[in-house]
Amino acid sequence: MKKKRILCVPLDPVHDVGIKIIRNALAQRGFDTELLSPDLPLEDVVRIAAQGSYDEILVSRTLGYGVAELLGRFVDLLDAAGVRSRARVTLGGKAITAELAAELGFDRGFDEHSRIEDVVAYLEGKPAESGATAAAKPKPDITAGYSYKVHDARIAAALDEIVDKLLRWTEGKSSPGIERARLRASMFEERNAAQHAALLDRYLSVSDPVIADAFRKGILPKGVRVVSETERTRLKELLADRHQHRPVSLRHAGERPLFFKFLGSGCPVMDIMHAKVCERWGVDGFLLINPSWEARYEGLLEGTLTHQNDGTVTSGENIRLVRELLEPSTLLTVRAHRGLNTPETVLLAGLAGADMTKIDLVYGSLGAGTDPARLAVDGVEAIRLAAKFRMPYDIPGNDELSGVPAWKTLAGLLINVHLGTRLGARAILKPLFCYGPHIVINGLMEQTFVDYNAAKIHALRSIVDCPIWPGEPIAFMTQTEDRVQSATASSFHAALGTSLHVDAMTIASTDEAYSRGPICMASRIDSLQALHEAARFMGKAAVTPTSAADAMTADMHAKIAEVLDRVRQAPDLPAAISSGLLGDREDGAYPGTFGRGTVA
Amino acid sequence: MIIGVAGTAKNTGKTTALCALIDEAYRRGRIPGVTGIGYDGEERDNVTLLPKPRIAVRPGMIVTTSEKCLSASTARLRVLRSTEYITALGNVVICRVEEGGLVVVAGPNKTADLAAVSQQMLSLGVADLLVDGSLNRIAPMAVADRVVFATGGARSTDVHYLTEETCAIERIFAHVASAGDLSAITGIRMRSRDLSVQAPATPVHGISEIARVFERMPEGLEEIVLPGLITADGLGVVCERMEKAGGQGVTLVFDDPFKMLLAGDPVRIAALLQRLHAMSVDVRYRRPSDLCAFTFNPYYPAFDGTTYRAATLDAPSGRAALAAALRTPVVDVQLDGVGRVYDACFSSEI
Repeated sequence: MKKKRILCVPLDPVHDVGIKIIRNALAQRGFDTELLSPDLPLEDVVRIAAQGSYDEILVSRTLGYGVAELLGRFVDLLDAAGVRSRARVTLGGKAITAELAAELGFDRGFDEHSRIEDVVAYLEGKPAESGATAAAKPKPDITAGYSYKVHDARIAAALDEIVDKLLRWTEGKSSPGIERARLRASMFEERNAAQHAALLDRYLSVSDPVIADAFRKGILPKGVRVVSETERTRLKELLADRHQHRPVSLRHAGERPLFFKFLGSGCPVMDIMHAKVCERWGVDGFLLINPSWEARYEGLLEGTLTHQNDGTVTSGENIRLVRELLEPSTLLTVRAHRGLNTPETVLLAGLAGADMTKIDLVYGSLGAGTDPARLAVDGVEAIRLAAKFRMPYDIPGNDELSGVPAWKTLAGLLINVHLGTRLGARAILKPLFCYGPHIVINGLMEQTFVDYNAAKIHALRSIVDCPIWPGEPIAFMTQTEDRVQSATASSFHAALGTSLHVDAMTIASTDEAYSRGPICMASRIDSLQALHEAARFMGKAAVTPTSAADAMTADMHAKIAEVLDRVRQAPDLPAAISSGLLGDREDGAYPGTFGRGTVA
Repeated sequence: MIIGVAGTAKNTGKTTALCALIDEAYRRGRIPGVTGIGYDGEERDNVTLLPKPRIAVRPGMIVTTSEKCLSASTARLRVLRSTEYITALGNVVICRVEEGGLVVVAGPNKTADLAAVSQQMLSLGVADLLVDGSLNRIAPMAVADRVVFATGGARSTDVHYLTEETCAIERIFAHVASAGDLSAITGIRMRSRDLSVQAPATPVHGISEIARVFERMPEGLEEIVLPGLITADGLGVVCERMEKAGGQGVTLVFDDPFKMLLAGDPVRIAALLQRLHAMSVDVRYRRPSDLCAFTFNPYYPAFDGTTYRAATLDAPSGRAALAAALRTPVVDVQLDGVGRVYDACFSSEI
């Protein structure tokens, strides 16, 4: 087949790099190309185009003030010279859209995100959607390919015994949280109104008055209101009218790590709008974070609700709305382990189609305020539900933020993983990439942030074959109120995580810790831009820890084994947590009190 | 009758004028058809992001757009014909409006395609066809029988300059048809009573092309036919050579006023044509077009270096300045209504 003749025209006095890249790529594919210099008058370009019997004319021009008229005139000149009856005229450049190309009179437009393949497909007459995702992106599975095998025999034995004791201890025990989760599941299935009302009565009998008032009297907690039907409809209309775009990739090569961001502005509509922008900027998934007050109440509200404070209210409707409006390939995880509604939250997340959840029996009891015994029974039930809904759950090691040493935190993570494996669920380790109190006090990152963070990952990998997702977010406590500094810190830590081949990372917005209210979209983009640049800068190169990291890894591994041995000797996990084996008062960890005395 | 609504720049009010003409047609019991040479009717401008008027259509109208714009229209459209003509937004489709609403018009944007689609629309029973322009694009408007030009603050905020340019456009259109059928001529032809010299066709007539042809100018020149594009510099050479040769009584035939507008700055082109007129050269077009009205739109998007904001010129005085300098009707559609423009477009004589 005869290759087309293509005239490449940089209609720009200085910028002709883009068109040169295109020309070279086309020439390599066998097209007969000619590149003009970037400073020719329009009439000269038209003269060359008309005399050269070209099949295609590719024009490169960045849009700027007055440029639309210039391009319109150029198209007119080609038209008047008879060129357009013989050749197609295509425009490429920043800010060029299909609509703008049509308005200017071009046959096709390619934007800065278009790939060479899109241009070639168009020139060869093959179907390809410029700027749109050519094929549906598959939904990633962070846990795929991991065996969950514990490599260290001593640690495996300790974990087996700890899990055995915990399951024996929880056997036959229940709590209002478990009862409500089971009632909710029945209510979800029940179609008979009278039966449903009876189930609701039972549900409210084991709920706090605040929750009962919301259901029975329509009195919502302070700052909470229903998102109206009109608001939901307008949101869907707004999102239905979007053009397909190929998102920015936050990875320069390969499929991992995945990048996550928090949602939890309080308002599901704002969450969704932020999520949609973040999707465009390459984010792979989101963590839906609930309000802290929810942890203290027995029972969860119902309906699409907005909350005038941090944290988005946990309800089936809120989760479903967010899930429905995200791209199918985007992952959604719902936080469950803070407070008295852990099993019910996992149930609602599963029913609403969430992809993952978040359960940590240790941190939930030490840093998040729930009574260890209550979270032990609720947590086991929640993990069983996660297994039933095939939702992996992540285990955040946020106890480190209180001052708990990393090895105790990591020991707690391993207990959670092993428990999940036993119950048929799949867990994800979430060690922190942070500058936590214990690290600061003991000068563990005096020389570099790299070594100690790398040691956590290496230590965990030496113990278990399991996905690792540093969080939450990475660079925690290294960030300041300065947005540039914050974005830079995130990007350096992301470069480290990528070098360590972790499976995913959670990225803070640049105002995450200092927003004094809902974080803003620009701050989300700040961090993603920084990440994108770091990935581009690093490519396949790697951050290399110093030799000190090896000693730290070995020390971490040994100390994790010691902690697990001590926990193994405790009568059960709640007792081990309460006695400080996984973080004590000296470390800044205090067993929680929500739900104390409610386990029966 | 095909009426083109062209503009001197983006945001000069083409769509406002077009929408007003549609309403006026209905008021007078006519059902117009609508096509366009770009993409128009979107909520916000593609460049400035400022709100734009959208094209409201009524039941029974026939409109063309591109496939990808069908879903963006609130009017219920029935596709009568999917054409072979392709735009950046898909194949051009000819539709009948079944239920009124807003449409995004994205019609054929090449002269040849517009001519073909216009004929198809006429064959479907459209008697009054309105062609929506795009930006400052004018070449496809050669298909139109008559043309309305939209100008205003978006073209220039200097009313003196606007007046000068508008007068120039009026002058460029003010030439009649050539005698006889000259449609087969593809290269520059010079004819005296005894001799005819024809050059090979060239796409653009610039300084060198014109100079080369004039070297072969026969004695007793009577007519020059200049098909295709000529540049302003090329036209300047024509003036010089005619002055040297004494052009009195010579007929000089160009293609159409739209190609003259494409030659360069209208003020300069009009001045060169005036020079030819002053030496009694009879300038004509192979395909003249009737300029029937100007619309004046005081709105302009003011750019502060970062964003655009809506701003306006002093509407009455701007329009008055133009009206005083022109023979063609000048109308501010918002202030005056569109009746005079409609009359000028559809009257039997201009």
